[in-house]
Amino acid sequence: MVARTEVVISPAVEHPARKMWTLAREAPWIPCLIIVIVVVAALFADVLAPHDPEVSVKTDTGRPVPSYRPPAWMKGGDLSTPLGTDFHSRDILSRLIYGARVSLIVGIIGTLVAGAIGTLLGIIAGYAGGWTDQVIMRITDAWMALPTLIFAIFLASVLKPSLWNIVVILSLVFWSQYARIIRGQVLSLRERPFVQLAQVTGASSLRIIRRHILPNVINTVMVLFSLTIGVAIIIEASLSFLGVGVPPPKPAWGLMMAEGRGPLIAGKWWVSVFPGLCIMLLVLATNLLGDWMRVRFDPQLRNR
Amino acid sequence: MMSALTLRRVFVICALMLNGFLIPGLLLAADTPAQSPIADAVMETDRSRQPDGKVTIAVHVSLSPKWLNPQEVPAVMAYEFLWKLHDNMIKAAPGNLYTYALAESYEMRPDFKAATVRLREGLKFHNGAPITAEDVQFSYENYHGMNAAFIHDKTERVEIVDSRTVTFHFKEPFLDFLLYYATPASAAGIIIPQAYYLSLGSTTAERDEKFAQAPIGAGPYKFVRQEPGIEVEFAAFTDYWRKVPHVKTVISRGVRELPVRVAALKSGEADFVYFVTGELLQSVIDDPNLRYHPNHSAPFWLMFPDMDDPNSPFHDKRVRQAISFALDRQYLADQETAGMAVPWGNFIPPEWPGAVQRPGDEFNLKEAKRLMAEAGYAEGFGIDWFTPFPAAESLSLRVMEQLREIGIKAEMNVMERPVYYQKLLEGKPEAGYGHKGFPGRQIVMAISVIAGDASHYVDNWLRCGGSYSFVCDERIEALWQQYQKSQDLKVRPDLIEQAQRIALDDYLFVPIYINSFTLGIGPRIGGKPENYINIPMSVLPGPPEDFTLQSAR
Amino acid sequence: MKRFILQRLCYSLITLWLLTVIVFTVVRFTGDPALLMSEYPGARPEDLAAMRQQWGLDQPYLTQYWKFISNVVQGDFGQSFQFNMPVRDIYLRRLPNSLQLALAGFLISIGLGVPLGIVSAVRVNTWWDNVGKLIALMGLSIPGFFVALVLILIFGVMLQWLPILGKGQGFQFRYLMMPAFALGWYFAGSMLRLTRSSMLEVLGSDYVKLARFKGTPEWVVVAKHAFRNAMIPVLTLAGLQLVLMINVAVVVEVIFSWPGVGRLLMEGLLSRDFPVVQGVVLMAGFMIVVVNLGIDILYAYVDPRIRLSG
Repeated sequence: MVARTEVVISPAVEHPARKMWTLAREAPWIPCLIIVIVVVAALFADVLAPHDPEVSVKTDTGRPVPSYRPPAWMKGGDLSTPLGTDFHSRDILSRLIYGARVSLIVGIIGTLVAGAIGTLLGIIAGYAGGWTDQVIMRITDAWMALPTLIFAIFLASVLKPSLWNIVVILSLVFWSQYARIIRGQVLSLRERPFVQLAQVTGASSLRIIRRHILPNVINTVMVLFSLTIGVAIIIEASLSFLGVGVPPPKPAWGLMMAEGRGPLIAGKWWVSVFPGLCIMLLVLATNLLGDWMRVRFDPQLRNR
Repeated sequence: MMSALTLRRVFVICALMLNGFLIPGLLLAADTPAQSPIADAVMETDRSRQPDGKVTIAVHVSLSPKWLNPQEVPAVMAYEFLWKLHDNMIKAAPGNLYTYALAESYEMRPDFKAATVRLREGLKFHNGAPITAEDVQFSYENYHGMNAAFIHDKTERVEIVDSRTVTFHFKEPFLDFLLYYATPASAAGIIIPQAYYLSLGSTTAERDEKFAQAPIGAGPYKFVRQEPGIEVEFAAFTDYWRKVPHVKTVISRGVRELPVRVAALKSGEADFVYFVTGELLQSVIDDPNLRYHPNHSAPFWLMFPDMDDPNSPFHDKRVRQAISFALDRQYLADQETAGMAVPWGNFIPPEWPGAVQRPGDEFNLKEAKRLMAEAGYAEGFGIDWFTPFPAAESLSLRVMEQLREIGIKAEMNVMERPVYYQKLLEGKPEAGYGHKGFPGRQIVMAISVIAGDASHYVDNWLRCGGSYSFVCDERIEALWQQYQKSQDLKVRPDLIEQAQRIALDDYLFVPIYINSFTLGIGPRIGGKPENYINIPMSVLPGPPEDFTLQSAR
Repeated sequence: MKRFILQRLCYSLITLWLLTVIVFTVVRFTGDPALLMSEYPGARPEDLAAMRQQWGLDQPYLTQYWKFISNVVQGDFGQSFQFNMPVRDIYLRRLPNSLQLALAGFLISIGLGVPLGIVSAVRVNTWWDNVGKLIALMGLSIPGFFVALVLILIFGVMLQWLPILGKGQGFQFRYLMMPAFALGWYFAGSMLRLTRSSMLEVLGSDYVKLARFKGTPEWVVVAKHAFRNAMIPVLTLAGLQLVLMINVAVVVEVIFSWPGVGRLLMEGLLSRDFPVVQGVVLMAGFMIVVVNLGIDILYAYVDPRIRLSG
């Protein structure tokens, strides 16, 4: 009885299978392709990368190849190191491939955790209302008052930087954005007839949240997620650039750009430009995806 | 290109060896033990010059206002400011370790228990106040910077003989007094105006703080203004005793990032740039408008904090020796410093009096592997960390890779410089093996610039209980005891030399190469680069009153 | 209206207070502040003792917090180890530099973003619009430091038109150009989008429809009616952008050696000068809260609906 009423009164929730189909049909292919490529690179780095990213590439005689060797299509370049080498004669292509791991791990997991925390708090605040709402919102406001990069640097100064600490830092920095928006949504959802009906029929809060609120909020969460991944990746790159991010010799795109600052000024642009392009493409892809999702799924967010 | 490189290397090594032999030679050749040779200052009597133009220096570290105050000298880098703003009684000058500066005479009693200095006539501070014996006495007694405790412990009293003469009385013979008074070992010989300093507040902390905001000294340049941490501006002091400076304005800027420094050199925004290294060095070399000078500082070396632990592979001398043979020093020098660094076999810089001159071991991978196998580590072993000297990460990566060839695997443990020094100072635990600051199985890279002579290195690094030392070797201890007691100027250096040989022959340390603190020089600076890097024991260009610009602009 | 302002003021004060709690907790939760403060190698025992005394570091948390908050309220953020002067002083010396940079960056972001946003909106869903949207995306996707490096390479090293180091004395336009562009680039993207969506909303409003119906030429509609109304949300949000810029400029300041508060933060971090780090973070948060308050009030003035809904 209740299930059927849901379908009638809450048209916002589509049948899952139908949702999948429309998604697949209208998905923007280019951003998805880019993201898939990056994910594949990260997963299969061991197979795809031509060289070990942390050691210098050696010639047959065992000596390292020249450092700052240009990309293969330029004079002095070589096909064995298609995108050139860095200061330590390491293959840039291999480092890019392995570096995808760091960017993805940090970007995805960091935003996932941030999203989880933020959504949870947002739902609690929006649904419970009253004092709980006020308290959580004040805390969220205070947290949001700290600019992301500065807060991230601050956390990096008190924590010892490592890959997982960066994830922790990012999740601590971003959760507040989720909380705020989700709370707003939950507030308006709470007034909707189907929720009130469920409350009247005596369904427990947990059940209501699970069956009515959550599915309606998921769209927004997904959109937010795809939008904040890009920022997270850039923040990680900035931290690595400033020297307080992922520690070397682990390859990370931001770190590679930092290492490439010197050579850039000396005219050896490839050390910085390729990781920069990777960051740019990945962030562009996630942003495009997020845009599309926003337009498609959640008109309320259209003017954000 | 090749032959030019080799030629340069040969020249450098010769120059180093010459310096290395010359100075201790001078010291030993003294007629009486009391007289270390002090050269007369080269003065210019023409005072009609009008200082003109501006020179900008891009320094490789953040500037600290504390460097303006000699009374609390925290680091050798402070001399970037101290030598512009202030002046010593006796100090190092181009070509000579000791030169008369504010002082016109110095006499050490034959029993080394009293030393007398006499000021020149007519000296003034920047604010016009005359420099008197009271200032000399105060500067010494109030000094609370590096090595202050050491000096004060040895000093009985400071006597003012007349308005220009001061005699220092020591509790016991202080053979090294001049070393502490006239080198960056301490800044007690830098004279500040007593009246002005005392007027700034009622406590030392207050006076230090205010003095660092508006310092007054006796050096060739006056303080104009500063942006704390960013830059300091100096203006020529035309009443400087030695000569009228050529350049009117000197600005020191802190630019931590190497690429920005080099870009500034290329664009002309900086005239002197410190510590050009790595890939950018080559672009400076290749640029016909720019000049540079290798400016060797001190050797990098590797050390093994847990080598006294019998269970550690580093306990076996053969392993340490293998590491030394596994390093292709010339390759490292070529990659990191365009060949300017000099492979070396001692951790003490060669110009330091008493330093053993020893070239680095030849690269011999086969021998290295053989030694490792003999010690029972044919497959190598993994260690916890490789800790680079902060800012030398790229060199460290290369070293780590060369060590991989003999099977030693590690991860790099990057830390900030302040943290590095903090850990270094933690030293040995009271009981047990290893090192408190660098626990576990590690290799640590170090470089050290200690003002003074080779004995200071032995004191700080080799002696059991020395500030940075984690070595406790009874032979070295015995030598050090002897050294402390002896007053024989011929025996002392020999003891220090023996201590070094023990350390090096037993591979307690594995030196790599003498670092090239390359100085980049822009087209506006007049004269030749060598003229500016001539001050013994210093890597900073100077003296500032000798800076000149190419023909008037 | 008064009630609204009072309410917002209350909220802001609470937020400010919570801010201090957050900073305080983060530090003490993740490590020993005494240790953090003593990691500065030149720190003398008497300096450390003074610190301990001032911040109450060996006392229970509540006492510590009380000392912390009373210091902060009086504007005392402690003494910098590195500079040997109060953190407040060194912060205030650097702040004008950051303001100068932020203002310049802000002008650039408006100068780039607003016109493009207007064009995008007026020519919505055409090629112009797509270009505009692409530019906006690029702005958000390319990290500021990458832009900065490329600018240095082209204008500083290759062409040698612009200086790359520092700020020069007083106000000097040449030094400002590249860092301001690198900074403004990122925000130009969001300015563009905001302008675009705001213009779209206004262009679809009844008011504009009426003007068109009356036969007003299109360009008058756009320039006079739509633009003015569309700018309101853009400008009010602009205040927030400005403050954000001050704080986000860390990387740009470091690259160009611009003597601002962002660079101060990094200097403090790298030299383990903890009072400086804490001070900059607190001030950053304070500024944003204050500016948010200002914006809220401004918005309320402009839009009565908000006032009434609270």
